[in-house]
Amino acid sequence: MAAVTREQERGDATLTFLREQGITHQAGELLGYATDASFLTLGVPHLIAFPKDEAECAALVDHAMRHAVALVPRGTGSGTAGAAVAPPGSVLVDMERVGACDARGHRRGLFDPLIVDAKGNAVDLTKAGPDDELYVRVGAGRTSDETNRALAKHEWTVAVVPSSGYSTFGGNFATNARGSGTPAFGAFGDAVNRLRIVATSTEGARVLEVTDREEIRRLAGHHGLCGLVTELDVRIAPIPRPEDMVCAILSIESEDVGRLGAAIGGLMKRVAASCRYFAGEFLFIDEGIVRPDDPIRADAVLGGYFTVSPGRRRMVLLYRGRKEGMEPLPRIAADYPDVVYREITFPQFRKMMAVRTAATGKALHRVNVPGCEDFIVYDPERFGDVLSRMFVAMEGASGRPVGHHYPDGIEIHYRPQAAVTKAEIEAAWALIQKLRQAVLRPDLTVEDRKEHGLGLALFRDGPPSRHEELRCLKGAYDPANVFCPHLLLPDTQGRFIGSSFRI
Amino acid sequence: MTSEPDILALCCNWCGYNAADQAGATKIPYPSAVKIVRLMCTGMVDPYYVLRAFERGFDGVLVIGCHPGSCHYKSGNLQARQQTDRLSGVLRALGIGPERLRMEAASSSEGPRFAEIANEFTETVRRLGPSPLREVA
Amino acid sequence: MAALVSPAEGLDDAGLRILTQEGCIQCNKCTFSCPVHRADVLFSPRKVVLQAYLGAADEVSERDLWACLTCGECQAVCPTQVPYPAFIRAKREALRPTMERTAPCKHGGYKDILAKIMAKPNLNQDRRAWIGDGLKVADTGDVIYFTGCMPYLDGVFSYCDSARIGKAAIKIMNAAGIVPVVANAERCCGHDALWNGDRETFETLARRNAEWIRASGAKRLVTTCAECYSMLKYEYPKVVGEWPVEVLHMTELIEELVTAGRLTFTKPVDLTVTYQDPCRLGRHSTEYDAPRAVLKAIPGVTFVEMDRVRENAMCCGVGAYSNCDAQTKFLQQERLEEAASKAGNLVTACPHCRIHFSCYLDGRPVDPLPDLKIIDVTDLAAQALG
Repeated sequence: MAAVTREQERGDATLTFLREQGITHQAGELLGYATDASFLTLGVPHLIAFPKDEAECAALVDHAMRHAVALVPRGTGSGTAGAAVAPPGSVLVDMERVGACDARGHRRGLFDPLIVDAKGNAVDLTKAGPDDELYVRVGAGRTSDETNRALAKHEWTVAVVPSSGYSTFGGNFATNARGSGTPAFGAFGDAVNRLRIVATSTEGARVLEVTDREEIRRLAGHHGLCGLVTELDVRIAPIPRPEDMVCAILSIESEDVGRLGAAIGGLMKRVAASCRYFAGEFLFIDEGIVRPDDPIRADAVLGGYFTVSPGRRRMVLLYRGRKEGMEPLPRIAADYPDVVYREITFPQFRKMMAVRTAATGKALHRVNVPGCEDFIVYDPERFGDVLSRMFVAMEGASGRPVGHHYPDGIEIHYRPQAAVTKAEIEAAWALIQKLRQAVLRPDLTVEDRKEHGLGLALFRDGPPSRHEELRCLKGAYDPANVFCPHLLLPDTQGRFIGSSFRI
Repeated sequence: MTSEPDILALCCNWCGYNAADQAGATKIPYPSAVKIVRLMCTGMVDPYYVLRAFERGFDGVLVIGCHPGSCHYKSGNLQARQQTDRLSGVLRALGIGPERLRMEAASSSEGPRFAEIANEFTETVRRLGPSPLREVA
Repeated sequence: MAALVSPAEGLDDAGLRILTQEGCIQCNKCTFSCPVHRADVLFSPRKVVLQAYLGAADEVSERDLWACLTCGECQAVCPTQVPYPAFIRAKREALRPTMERTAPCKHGGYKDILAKIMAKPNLNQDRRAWIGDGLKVADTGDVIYFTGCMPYLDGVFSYCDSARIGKAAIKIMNAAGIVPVVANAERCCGHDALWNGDRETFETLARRNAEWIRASGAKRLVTTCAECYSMLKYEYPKVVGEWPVEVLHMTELIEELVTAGRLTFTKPVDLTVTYQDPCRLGRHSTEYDAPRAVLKAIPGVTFVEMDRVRENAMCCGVGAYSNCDAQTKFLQQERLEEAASKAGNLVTACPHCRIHFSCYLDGRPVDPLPDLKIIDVTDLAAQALG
C-alpha cells in the first residue's frame, strides 16, 4: 500500500500547489473526466487543473518535475485514442483555456484573431490575396469552430478542420487530425507553421518555440507525450464563394458487397486521379441508420437515400470542392451503371455529414470499442476486396463503416458497438481481431495507421517506425518523463477497462 | 375560523424592537395577534418577506423603524419606505390590499407609541377581515 | 430541431430516461457553446451527462443544477440532439424537495412567491391599474391579451418600466380595431415554477388559467412575453385538457395585422437597432422571423443583425431567475458588447431579457460599454403609430 500513499502525498502536494498559485482546479471523484471519446477508462481521476496561460502551464510542469507527478494533457476530450484518459495518481491538465481566455480566465465567444504570414509578421486579412500563405496565431485552447466564426466575416477559414470542430487546436495537433480540407492541405501537422510547447529538461520546465516544419510534422500526433502545446500558427485558407463550389452525392446499391466495392473502388481511383476537392466522405446506409421519425426521411431530395430494401446495402459518397476541380466527376460517375450522381446544396451536404457523424454510432450506453480506426487502403481498386472481407467478418455485428476519400488512399473507420457488459465488450474485441486478420494485409495495400490508437494498441499494432519516432521525440522533449508516461508502457492497453459504465 | 388576525411586525433592532421591548417591560398591553420579528434595520425588508408573510396566511404586515433622520445606518428606513410604497401597488394588484401593509416609526423610548400602532393596526386588519390568501377551512 | 422536452420511456430515473433516448457521444460541443462555461470553466454539460451515466444521476451538484440557463444552446449544436435543458428540468424536479433553502428565484424569491400567491384560489386581483387612459380593454371578446407578471414587475425591477410594453400592446391592438380582454382572473403562467422543478405550482397555475380562458370564449390569445408564450403554446396543452385558444406572440400578431393592412406605421422612428432572440421565443419555440418582420416594417428603423443570432443567439444571462452571480455579469457584458458594436439600441421581445440587461446597465458594467438603450419590440412598434 506504500504506492498508494505516495500517490496520495503527491496528490496533496499538487493540490496545495494549485491552490497557492491560484490555478483553477477541481479535486474529488471526477467522474466527469473519467474517459474521453474512446469511452474507456483507467479509473476515476482525482485532480484536474485548468491553466489559463503559458505561465501557469510552466509553473505546473515545474512542480510536476520536482514532485514526480505525471501530467495528462486534455483538450476537449473528443479524441478516440484514449490518450486523454488519466491513470490513477496522475493529474489531468485541461488545456482549453490556454491562449483562449482573458486575464480573469473568461473566454469570449467572439474574438479578433491575429493573422500572420509564414515569417510570423502580422498581416491585415482584409488586404490579403487568395493565394497568400497565411496563418492564424491562436492559443492551443481555441477550437476551429470559434476561430472560423471569427474569420468568417473576412471569408477565410481554418484550412484543415477536423470532423469535431469543437476539438482544440492543441488536441488536433496531438492527434495529427485529418478532416475537411485534408485532400488539399494535408493532415493537421502539415498545416502548422510554428508552435510553442512547455516541455521538460534536466533542469526544469522549459518553453520551446518550434519553427522547423519537418520537426513540426514529426511532433504532430504526439498524443501528449512531449509536452503542453500552448500556441500554434495554424494555416488558413479563403472560403471559396458558394457560386464557385459544388457538392455532390453519389450512391450505389447492391446485394453483392464485392461488386459494390469493386465498382466504387474503380470510381474512387478515377476520382482521385482526375478531381480535386476539399472533402470526400463515404458512409454505408441501411434502414436503421436513422430513426423512423427522423425528419431527414421526409426531405424531398435526401429522403430517398434512406429507404433501403432489406438485404441490400447502399454506399453513399459525398464530395465538395471547387467547380473546376469537380468538373470530371459526373462524367466518371456516368461510366458506372450502378452509380447515381446528383448535385446537392451545401446545407444538404451538411445534413448528410451529420448523419455520417452520428452513424459512427457512438453513445454512452453503447461503448465503441476502438481498434479499427484509420485503416488506409492505398490502392482503391483493392477497396472492393477489403469491403467484402470486412462485411463477412462483420456479419451480424452492429456499427457502420464510414470513411474519407483522401488523394493518397481511402481511410475506413469502423467501431463495433457493445452494450456495457463484459461479454459484449469481449465479443467486440474478438470481432476486431477477426477484422484485423481479414483485412490488415500488405497484398490488400492496407495499413493500420493507428493515429487514433495510441496507448490502446500502438505498441502492439502500430507501425514500428512510428514507435521509434515517438520514443526519440519523448527523449528530446520530455527527458523527465512527466507527460503521459503510461502511454509508452506496453501493458497499459491491458489496463483499460470498459466495465465501469452502467447502462 | 378564528376572528383574531395574525400580524407580522418587522421591527428594526435600534428603534422599533426596543420600543416593543419597552412596551412589554412597562406592561403596556398590545395584541397578541402581533408577532414580532427583529431585523437590524428596516432597510433589510425585502418584498419577499412581506409577500411570504401573506402567502403563509398573515392578515397584515407592520414595518416599524426609526424616525426619518434617525436611522442607525443613516438611510435604511428611507429605502424601506420606498420598498413599502412600491409594495403597496403590488398588494393592491394582488387583491390583498395596500391597507394590510403599514410602515411606521417608533424610537426606542416610545413604548407607548409602539403599543398604539399595534393596537390600531390590529383593529384595522380585524375590520378588513381575514386575508384572501388564508386557506379556506 | 427536436422539441426541447421529450422524455423517453422505460427507465426509472426521469433524468436518465431523457438522456438515453438520445446517445451522448461526449464530443463536448455542448460545453463549448455553453455561455456559462465560458465564464466558469468548471461548469460543463458534457461532464454532468457523463457523471449521470456513471451512476451519479442522483446527485447533480447544486451549482450544476441551478447555474444552467436552460437556454438550449447545447441542444442546438448537439449532433445527437441530447435534450440537456429537459434533463436539467427533470433533475430540478427530483432534487428540489431536498433543497428548499436554495431559493431558486435569484431576485430574493420575488417571482417565486408571486407565483405561489397567484396559485391560491381566492384571489381578487386588480390587474388593470397599470393601463392608462385612452386604452380600451374589455371583459369579454375574441382576443385575450395575456399580461403574465406585468402588473408586478415594476414593483421590484424599478430600473425599467415594464408596463410600457403592455400599454404599447393595447395601443397597437386598439389601433387595429381590437379591444383585448385583460382579465383580473389571470395568473402567472408558471414558467419559472416549471423550469425550476416546482411542477405542482405550475400545474395549479395552468389549470386556474385554463379555467377562465375557456370560460371567456376567446379564440386567440396574445402575449408580449416569450416565456408566457412558450408555456401557453407548448406546455399548457399537455396538462390542461381542452385548450381552445390559438396562442400568438405580439410580434406574430403585428406581422399579421400589417400584412392584412389593418395596421399602418405612419411615424418614422429613426433608430439603428439590433435584436436579441429570446431563448424562449427563439430556440424553445423556433420563432425567429416575426420579430424581424416587425422591425423591417417600422419606417425609419435601421436593423443590423448581431453575429450570434437565431439558433445561435446568446442568452441574456439569466434563465427562469434560477441564478445570478458574478459569472452572469460577464455573460451580460459579452452579449451587450456584441450588441453595442452593431447599434445604439437593443430590441428585445421578452420583458425578462429587458429586465436582465437593464439590471446590468443600471449597475456597474464589468468593462467599459458604449451607450446602449434596451427597447421592447412592441414599444418600438407603438412609437411608429403616430
